[in-house]
Amino acid sequence: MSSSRIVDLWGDRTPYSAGQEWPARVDEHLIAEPDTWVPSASLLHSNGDAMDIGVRDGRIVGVRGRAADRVNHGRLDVKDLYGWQANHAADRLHRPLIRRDGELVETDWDTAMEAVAGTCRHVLDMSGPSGVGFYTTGQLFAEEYYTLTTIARAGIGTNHLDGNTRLCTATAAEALKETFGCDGQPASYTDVDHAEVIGLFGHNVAETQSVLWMRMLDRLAGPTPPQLVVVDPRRTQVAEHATVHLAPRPGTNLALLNALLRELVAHDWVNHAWVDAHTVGYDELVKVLDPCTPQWAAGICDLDAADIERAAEIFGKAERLLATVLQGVYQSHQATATAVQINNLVLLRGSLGKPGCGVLQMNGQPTAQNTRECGANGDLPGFRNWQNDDHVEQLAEIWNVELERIPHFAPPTPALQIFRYAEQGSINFLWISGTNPAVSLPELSRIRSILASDNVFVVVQDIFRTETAEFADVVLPAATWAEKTGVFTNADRTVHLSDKAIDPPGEAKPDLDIFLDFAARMRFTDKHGAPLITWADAESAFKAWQRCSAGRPCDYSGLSYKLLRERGGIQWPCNDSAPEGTERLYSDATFWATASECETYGRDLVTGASVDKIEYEALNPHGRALLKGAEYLPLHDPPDEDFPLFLTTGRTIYHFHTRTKTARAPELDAAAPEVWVELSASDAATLQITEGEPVLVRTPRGSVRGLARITQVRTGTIFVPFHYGYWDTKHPDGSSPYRAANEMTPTDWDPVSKQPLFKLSRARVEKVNDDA
Amino acid sequence: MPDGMTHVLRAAHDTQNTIAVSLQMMATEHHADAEIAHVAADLLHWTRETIAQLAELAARQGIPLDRAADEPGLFQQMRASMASKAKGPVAALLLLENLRRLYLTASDASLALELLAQFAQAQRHTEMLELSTQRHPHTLRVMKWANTMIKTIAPQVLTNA
Repeated sequence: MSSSRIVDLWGDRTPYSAGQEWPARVDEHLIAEPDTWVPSASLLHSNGDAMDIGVRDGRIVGVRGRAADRVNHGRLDVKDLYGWQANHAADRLHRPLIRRDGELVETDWDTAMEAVAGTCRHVLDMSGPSGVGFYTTGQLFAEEYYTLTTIARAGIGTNHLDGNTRLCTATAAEALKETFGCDGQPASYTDVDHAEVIGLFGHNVAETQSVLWMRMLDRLAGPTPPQLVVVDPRRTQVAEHATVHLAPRPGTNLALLNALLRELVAHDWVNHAWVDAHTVGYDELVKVLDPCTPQWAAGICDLDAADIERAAEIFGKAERLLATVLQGVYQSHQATATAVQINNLVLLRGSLGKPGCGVLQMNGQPTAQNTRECGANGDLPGFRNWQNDDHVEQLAEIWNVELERIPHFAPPTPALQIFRYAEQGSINFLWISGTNPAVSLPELSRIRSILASDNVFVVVQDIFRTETAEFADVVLPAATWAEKTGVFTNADRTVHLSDKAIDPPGEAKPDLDIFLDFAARMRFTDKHGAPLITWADAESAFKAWQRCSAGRPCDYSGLSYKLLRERGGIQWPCNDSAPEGTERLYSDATFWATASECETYGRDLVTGASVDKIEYEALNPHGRALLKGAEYLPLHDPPDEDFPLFLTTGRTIYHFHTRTKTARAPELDAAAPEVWVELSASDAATLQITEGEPVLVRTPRGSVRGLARITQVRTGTIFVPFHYGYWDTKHPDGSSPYRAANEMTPTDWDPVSKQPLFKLSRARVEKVNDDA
Repeated sequence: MPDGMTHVLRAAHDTQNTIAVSLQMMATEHHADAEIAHVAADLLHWTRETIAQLAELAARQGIPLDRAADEPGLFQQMRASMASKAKGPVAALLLLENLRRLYLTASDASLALELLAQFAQAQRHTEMLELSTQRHPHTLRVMKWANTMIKTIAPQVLTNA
């Protein structure tokens, strides 16, 4: 394997036909012959590709895809081939840091952890549990999230615990809950092997989950290729392969979806027998859809009505329909309402729980699924319902605490509201683990001012001295992938074990050990005075999590480290009745949707207002899937004369998140070293901008300077990747240009999932005159 | 004394206008609470539709009502804009109080639409009954939203007041 994969991103084709097994192809990149191979999976995207880490003399020397694994059949994403080099970067954090006289200085673990625990105790004395907040990630392991959740919910007793998964996967979780009563990915990646139509909604799979795209490309190259219907404002690689590509005006996804569904109803492409037997809400949905003709949507979305009709016909006539969804939906206007209509699309076709059928509400991060399951993403562990006292009572039993210890008087607080409470001064202790909000949250000037405030004690736990760490009062150096053991779960419920391969640098510790140290110092106890946390290492933490998950949809009780080492990836639920794991959920159309089982009673898809138990029981007495409709609403902050363009942000295949790891891999850094601005040829001509010239993008909140790239993005829409921050450049102080896309994004979120709307800012592009 | 028709239409129209003004003031006053400001704007969209439809129906009955929703007056605008400068616990308490008032305003408006429906049924006035039936869910939505937001923020706001 040479560095040609930087150019040849998806590698050689291994064509296959519908219903056949996807042929293996082993990708590897080695710089020396390893002494040992250690099993793991990818931590640089959400696909969960299994790999072995090659180790020689205590250092990583490369990686190799695992041919026998169900997820990737040996293939690896370009980030995985090179990204491991970040483990050995010279600027890893080796020792804890503490702020003294305004400067971060090195200290020992005991001093750092006493400062953390001491401040936390002080805040608890002064303001109680509501003064303490935790903001975590989608990149730790399940054992770590479960420990953090136990600490936050039963130790501290705070409602303020959320993950940066709020930015990437909150809408996926919420949409699944609204439709199926409970979180849990219905379909499987193997459905790509069988599908005759794949609808990709705001899902640039070629860059976000490149191995899954290789699978689709191999189907496309085979004798019975699926048809692709692609909804994306950019003409992506995926769109290039589409039978129909719809590039709607940003912010109009719901109008488009409503029109597509209305066509299914109008042409009677509805599987009535299935819908009657397994769903509720059909008549109400049809009423909402009634005015949404293709002509109506074409006007709102700036599309051709005939293209909408054609796409609807492809969906309407498909027997094996797979729909996939990602950030183009989740980070846009009316996110949950739109994602729910994509669930409705497969429900109306009765395309669920069978090979080639179903919906994949994707994740943006490698372990986001675990953040959700373990209750670190604003839900209770095991997909339990905070409004259901029986569910909270189960947790109280598992943790052996009084029911009242676990806050369940209000929904868990979403990330941006945690920052709002910190801004208002009611949260005074904020522990940030494995995420970089100073680059990744919207409206960065506001986030920086909150992090810099003297009223908030900020703890940052990370592997590098990130932009966020610069604001910390204490910085805790963490171990990462390959340096610790734990499990994590991908977007199709596949659980992998990631074993420790090498020692962490310096005094860095696994996140689990840091949380356990904190719990010991805080002396959290159960109701009998015994220690609340009864586990001491990864495997015992995993067993505690298994017990908590037992009997819930995300049941891990049949798994073990031993089984995962032997077998590789296994899909949950895995228990006595499904010892081999479960490829597809809902194959018998039985849902976790009765009032006693469901994770939520639901929300109004427009306002986010909660539905109560009595209403829910009346609506869905038999626990069927719910068909919920929602009316399209115009944008909150549309383009105007000053800011006539739409700015949308997103990823490139070469980088992950804020580049903390990928920019420390020379091949990946060289492939995309600087921020750029994509605009259409027509907008470029109007603005007299040429390829490669520096331009300034401005929104009402801030600006970014980058190099122009003329691409096939929708006219009137520009694109800026969100990966770039300031750790490897000068910090913005007015003299150097800003380069983080989130300088420009608005503080606005979907009221149902609380996911920020990164895809929607009004903006303008200006030429840069360097001589001025 | 106004007749029953005038009474129920005016009551419905008045109370919807009170909602409209409250929502506009909340969007201004609580612009730093993004969700409040944005959902208030969404709800305003439907409240305005309700007001216009009530006015059209009233016009057909010869009762003059304004088609356009009321806007906050100068004094109200000043108050909202001053209040928007409040920081910390004060801003949070103001929000809680405004949500409580919005809930009461919306329940008043909901009752007015019920009166309209009852009158329409007694009079066998199909058009009026349809209007009430169609618009009532939007008013209930305002109530439910205000109630949800109150439950969500009250523990934090009151603990730190």
